[in-house]
Amino acid sequence: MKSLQKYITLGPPAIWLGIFFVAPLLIIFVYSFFERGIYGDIVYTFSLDNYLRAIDPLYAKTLWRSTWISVVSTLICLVLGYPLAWYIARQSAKMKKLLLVLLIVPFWTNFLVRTYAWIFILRTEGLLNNTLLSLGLISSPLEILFTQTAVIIGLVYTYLPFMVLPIYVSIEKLDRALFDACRDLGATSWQSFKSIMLPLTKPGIISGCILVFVPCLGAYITPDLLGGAKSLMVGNLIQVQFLAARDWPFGAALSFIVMAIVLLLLFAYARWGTNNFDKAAEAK
Amino acid sequence: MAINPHPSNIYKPLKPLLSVENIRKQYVQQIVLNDLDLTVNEGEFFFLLGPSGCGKTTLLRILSGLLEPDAGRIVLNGTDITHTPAHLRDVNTVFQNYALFPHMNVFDNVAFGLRMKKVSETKVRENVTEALRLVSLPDFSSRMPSQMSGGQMQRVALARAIVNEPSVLLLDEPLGALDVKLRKQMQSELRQLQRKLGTTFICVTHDQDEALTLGDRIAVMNKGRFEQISDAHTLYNQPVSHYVCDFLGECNFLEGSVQQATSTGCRVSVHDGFIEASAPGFKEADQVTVGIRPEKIALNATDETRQNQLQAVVSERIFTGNHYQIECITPAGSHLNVLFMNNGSLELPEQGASVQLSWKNEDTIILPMPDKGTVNAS
Repeated sequence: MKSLQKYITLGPPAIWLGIFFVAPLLIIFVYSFFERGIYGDIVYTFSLDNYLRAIDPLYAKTLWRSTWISVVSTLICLVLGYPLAWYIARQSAKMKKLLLVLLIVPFWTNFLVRTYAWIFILRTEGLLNNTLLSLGLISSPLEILFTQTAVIIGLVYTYLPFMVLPIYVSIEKLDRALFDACRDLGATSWQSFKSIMLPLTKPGIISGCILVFVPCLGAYITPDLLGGAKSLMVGNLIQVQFLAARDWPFGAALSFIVMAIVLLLLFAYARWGTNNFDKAAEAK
Repeated sequence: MAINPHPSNIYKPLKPLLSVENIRKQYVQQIVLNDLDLTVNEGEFFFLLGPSGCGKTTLLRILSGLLEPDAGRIVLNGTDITHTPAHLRDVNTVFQNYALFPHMNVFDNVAFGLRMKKVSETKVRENVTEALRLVSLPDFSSRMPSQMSGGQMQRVALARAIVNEPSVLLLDEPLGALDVKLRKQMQSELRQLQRKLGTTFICVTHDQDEALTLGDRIAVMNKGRFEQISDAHTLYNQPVSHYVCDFLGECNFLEGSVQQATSTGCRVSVHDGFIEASAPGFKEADQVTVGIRPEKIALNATDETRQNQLQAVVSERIFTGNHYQIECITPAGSHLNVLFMNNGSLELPEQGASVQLSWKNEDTIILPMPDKGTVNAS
């Protein structure tokens, strides 16, 4: 009787997860071991060729570049996001609300439109170059659009809120008295940041980094619109495999490699990312 | 009445350590601290007592350096420290909710101040161990704050402050978060610790009991001013204002005017007749409040030394365990509470019984009318 009840209550979510999460992943996983037929169909023979092909320098370079762009974007988001989160957390309750809404406002506009806006800003005769030229800060226009820099700018712009929010939450949670205690005990501002603020906001920093890094690694619209041939990312590669090249097995294998990188990072977070005092609290 | 209220100071001449001169703090419209003057002596256990919002915590934060005053001067050991930032002051604070660093164990918490001063690690180990021993937590070094009770965290917070050997230790409602039993125990431990260290303690509290029990001297604060600064005996027996008298303990108040004043005392006319007091300093026709503490009033006493006598009727008897509280009404309609110990020495009057209330002249407190309270910063 008990076990029947358990199955009834666990059933619907299990079915939901099974259909919408496990099954598609499983299909992709299985596909990644098949081969592409001559006409873009799928040949159902087991092979590891897709994975071997992914380590081929041609594709490995794209994987490496994607990881690199994602790391740089994440770090820039962190450097920009931390002070911003700190600034918001210090405001009055009313101001906090306003600033948080402003942070979210861009999400109300279509992502594609926002990315197109960056083309207008960054192109040779765009807003940025015209402004800098008219101010006399540069003598010839900067060629930013269709470079790796443009991709990073686009990614940082898109995912900055994902860095700010978790850090904001962890700063907000901090007891102000801790900083008073820190100063009272002889710490300078830098020392209290280093020994109190940074370790206590570590969970927020790590969550933010994961929230930014993961979508960056899979991004394809931003590199597609703002990047050039030399800033192709793995997302584009997967998109091309599935749509243009009609090589579903190879696309599936690339997807799985990206997922493996993400899972490895999440595992590292679970292993080393939590604070000692969280563990102590759990042990209690 | 020859009880010395602060035995710790019997052999030591008082030596001023910290002085606050004309300290003022103002937020937009509101004056939080109104030109305060104060001198705290070396080795003194000093209390800032008042209800929330009276400015006591603001003053403490100014002393710690976490807040800057708008005007005035703070002098510690002869040095002007008004503009010395918190981290360079020879002052440490025990914060209200302890403010222990949650990601550090007890040892690292206590060692924090010494490490900021770049003290050698051997010396750190030695001093931290000694500090933890002083607060009776010798085996707690590796515990995390989340694994401790409120009382234990309180001790760690104390150890973390005293390990730096500050000239002045500031305590912000140190016992406020503890339950009654534990608070009593910590009170006596705090007193012992203060005597042992000989450090000047300045403690903020709203708990009059705590201040009366522990304080060598107490400053009663009201709306950003000191109402009275004195030892516990003087504050309780000779309050200078209605506010102080009412804040510390219980008191019966009767309004009246001075009918006759001499150099040794006065005679006040109230609704119920005349009350005599041995309080000098008032003149004829002064509007005053007469205060009589409930425990100073005797019921049906035959004692001739109790010059003040009033007839009254018992309207209520309340038993509170160690004492009885008798509520009486005089023919003129004044309500008076009488308190006496539950020790069987007196027959309990029935409700509705007629009783005679009497007390001594020196137990009559004469106060200027409220809202004309004088500021006495003795």
